[in-house]
Amino acid sequence: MISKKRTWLDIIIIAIALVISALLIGLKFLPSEGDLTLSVISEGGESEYSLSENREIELMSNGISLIIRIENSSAYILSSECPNGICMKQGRAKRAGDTVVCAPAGVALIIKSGGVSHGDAVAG
Amino acid sequence: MAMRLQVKENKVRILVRCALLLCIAMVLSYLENILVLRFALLPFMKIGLANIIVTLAFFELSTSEAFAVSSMRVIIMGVLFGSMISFFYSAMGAFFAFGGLFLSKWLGKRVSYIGTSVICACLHNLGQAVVAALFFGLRVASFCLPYLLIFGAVFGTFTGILLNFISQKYKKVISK
Amino acid sequence: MKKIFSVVFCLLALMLFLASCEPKETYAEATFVAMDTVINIRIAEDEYDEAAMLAGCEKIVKDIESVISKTVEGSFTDHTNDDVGLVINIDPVFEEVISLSLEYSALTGGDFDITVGALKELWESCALEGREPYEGEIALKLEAVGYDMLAIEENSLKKEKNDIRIDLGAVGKGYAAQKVCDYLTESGAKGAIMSFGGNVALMGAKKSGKPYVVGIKDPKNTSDVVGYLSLEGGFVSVSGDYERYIEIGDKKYNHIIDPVSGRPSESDIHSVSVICDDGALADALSTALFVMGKDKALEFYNSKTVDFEAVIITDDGIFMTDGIKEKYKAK
Repeated sequence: MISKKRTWLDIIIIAIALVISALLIGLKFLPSEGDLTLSVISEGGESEYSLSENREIELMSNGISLIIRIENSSAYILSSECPNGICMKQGRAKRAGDTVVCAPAGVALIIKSGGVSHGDAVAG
Repeated sequence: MAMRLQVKENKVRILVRCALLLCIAMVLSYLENILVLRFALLPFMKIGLANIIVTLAFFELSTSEAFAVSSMRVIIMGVLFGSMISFFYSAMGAFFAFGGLFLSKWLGKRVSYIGTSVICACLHNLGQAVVAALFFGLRVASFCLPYLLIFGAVFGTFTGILLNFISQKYKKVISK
Repeated sequence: MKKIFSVVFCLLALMLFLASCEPKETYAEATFVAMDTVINIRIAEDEYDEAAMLAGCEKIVKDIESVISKTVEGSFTDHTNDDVGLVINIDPVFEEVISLSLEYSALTGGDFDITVGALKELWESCALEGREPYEGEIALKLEAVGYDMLAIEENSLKKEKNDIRIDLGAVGKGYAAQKVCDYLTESGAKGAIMSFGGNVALMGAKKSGKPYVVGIKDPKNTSDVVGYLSLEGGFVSVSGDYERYIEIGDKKYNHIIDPVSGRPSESDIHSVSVICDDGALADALSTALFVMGKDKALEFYNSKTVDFEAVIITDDGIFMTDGIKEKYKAK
């Protein structure tokens, strides 16, 4: 029926469980950086882009035309016809939660993470 | 063997034995709630003390008695202390763990209670992860799963060692 | 035995069925840019028109923005900064924001002050030139700073000095969040989670009845959190040194100007989160506490002038006010 003493298979089962969990943890931490996506919000709504491939996105919002560039896993506003041009000086968004906003055009670049969610909302 | 025994046995005797086992299982369950609630990283993560009783009943008594004890424990604990969601967690956990018992029965003499407990604990936690996936999405569940497996292995070993010990002594407590 | 088996099985099946009816949290969502930041609103889905509510929220925010924003041309803030003496016929919304701000300024002894506009512009323009403002420039602008030089009188705003320039950036988002919450409550929304550029507003309740869980951003690693707050509702407003800053040479300056010194705040606080039942107050307090620094902020809390809780992150660790400790859970 069942052995009353510890057997080799017991040890193997424990080892298997630990190995599987170690593998799962390893898998989870490896691609976490590659999981980032760029979400672009404009007058026309929200659209998502992968941060892994370099490209330029042209768009028109509130009558202002902008060019957004994705480069080396970061995104920034390359050019904008907005009056003050502050958006071009905001630097690059590359980490989860980073944002670049062009207020006159109503455009925002937000880096989103596919990782674990931090509760219902994040303050800060 | 178990079936043959049942036919011979007095029905009242079986009933009382089940009730007794259920009581012990519930006390252990309750104890565990108090113990673990403070240290739990994840909701409904348990040591699995109550599973000692179910596993013992499964191998030393009969499948049906083990099933009765396991399911009644889940239901009564759910009614007494749990919310719907926590009930769903423990029900699914218990259901998966029961599958683990059949698996180790199939492995027979090759495993002891330690292996059995680890299998059951991991499957129990897997069942809970399935529920977590249903309620909170796959992302949360996949985040929890590796930790649940580690805890399954650790606590499973712990209860298994206890079981190996108890299984040699239990006749003094519950005679057949 | 067989009977017990089947009865138990039926019971189990029944309870599993019931359990599967547990409500799932689903939200209708809108994200847009207003008030110089990204605004995200999520309304709990139910038997009502979420899309109309979201559109209503967006309209409220944009209407407020058009009145109080410094960058929107023709706004009352714009008028006020350009006008001399008396600004007449002001919008009721503008009047409310100003009188609330003046009240909060008095409350915090001037650590929150909307009249820092001129100083802020000075630092921003100097940053573009790549230099620090001269002491003389700062001293000059400081003369036009002081909430007691503004007064609301029958639909009009009186400026005691013509150079006073106001900036409602530290209260506007919180005020708008409050108005959106009021609107959602009136229109019968069951629950909503809103983020106004990092300031979180919670309304109603979750379907599960559990409290909302709000993560607090880690100032050192902004893609992570330091801990979580379990809240039934209200507002969480954060001021942090990581948010926006002015760069002059190699040095980074905070975007929050200390109205007393006239310089960017150099407090020991990395981030302060204020938890409060009023949106505008939460927003104003987070700025004020940031300027105060940890010790003075905790002292202010203990004086019990106003009801709020705070989580302060400094180099020495995380400091919490008494009422929030049990609602906080470290990561």
